[in-house]
Amino acid sequence: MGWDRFRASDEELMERTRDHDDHQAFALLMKRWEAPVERLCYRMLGDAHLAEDMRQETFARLFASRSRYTRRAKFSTYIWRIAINRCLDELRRKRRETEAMERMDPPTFAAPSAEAELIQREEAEAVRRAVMSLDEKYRAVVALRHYEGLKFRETAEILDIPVGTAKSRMAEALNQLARRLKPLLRRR
Amino acid sequence: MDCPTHEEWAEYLYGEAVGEEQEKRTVHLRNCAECRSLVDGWRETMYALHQWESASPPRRQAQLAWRTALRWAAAACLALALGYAGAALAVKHADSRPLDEAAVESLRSSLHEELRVSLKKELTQEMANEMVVTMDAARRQLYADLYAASRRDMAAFSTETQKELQRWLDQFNHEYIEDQAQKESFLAEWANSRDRQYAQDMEALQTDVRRLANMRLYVSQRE
Repeated sequence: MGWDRFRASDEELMERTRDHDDHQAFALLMKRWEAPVERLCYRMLGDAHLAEDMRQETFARLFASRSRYTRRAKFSTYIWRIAINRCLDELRRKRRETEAMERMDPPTFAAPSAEAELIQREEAEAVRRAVMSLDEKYRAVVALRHYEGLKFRETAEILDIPVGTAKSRMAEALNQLARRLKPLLRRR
Repeated sequence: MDCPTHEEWAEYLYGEAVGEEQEKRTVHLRNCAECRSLVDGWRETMYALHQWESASPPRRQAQLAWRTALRWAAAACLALALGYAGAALAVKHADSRPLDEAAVESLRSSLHEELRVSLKKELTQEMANEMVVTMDAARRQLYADLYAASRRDMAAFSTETQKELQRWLDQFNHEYIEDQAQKESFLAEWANSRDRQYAQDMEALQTDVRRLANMRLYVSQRE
């Protein structure tokens, strides 16, 4: 029997990519992981197009750093970590840009357009905004633990923090979200 | 009352408190209004978070639709290749190698290969389906033909058999009649011969009796 890539684990596929530059193995990894990675990026960035870009960057980074992959951690932890770090980099870059813009122009608070008002009424949009308003360290825990359904232990491993910290960040995130979503929750 | 910490409640709400702990906290919730208020608020918040859960990046569905095959494949390859080229330029991390054109090309070719395999699989599946339908139709036709032929053959066979049986019966009857005639003839001859033998025996017996009677008369006259 030859190499059956369709039955191979993620770790085996990544090792094939690393050791043999097996493009088919990498393509299969992409097929398996591109949707979850894009979903995570979307939760972190709140923007579908940006999430798509980050997904591509995550795989570009994964491929570029294939020689450094080791089996010490699960592949899922490895790729989640790359994706989260890419999102955090992107958020930092955007923040720098915003700060630079603010230095140039005084902040203006334009009244939301009628269209924006309509969007704001949608609950999903309200939740998206609430999540986006969280500090990144809380948002990452919400994205991984709540939306991706990882355990606190895995979340902590990906974010390289103690498990207790992952739990306390989740608690704080829930506190902040509860405050921000109060108007929405009252409507129920 | 010793209330669980916020971390412990987070653990509880996500079902990660182990064994007895989960049960203990459930009991605590019943007896502690403060914790109940906190946990109820978090529960509602978690439920509200699901409102955004159903919202997915718009491209996701399209990416999963492999069956649109060629048109999508061409577009996706182009988009991905351009994306990776862009990504290669954007990757500026100090300890990572930039993704060069060869890598982009190799990714693209691997995607081509993946799509080719996927398309081949679909076509093979369709051909297999078509073959199954054709085979099924052929099998039905064959059964129908065989059935019709067998009925015809059976009918012909039946007629032929009946004729043969009739011929055999005729022959048998003929032979039987002949045999019967022979038997009757034989019996008649046997009866005649027996009658003749009987008559001869009777005549011989009468002769012997007359001779015996003559001898007794002769003896009595001499005495």
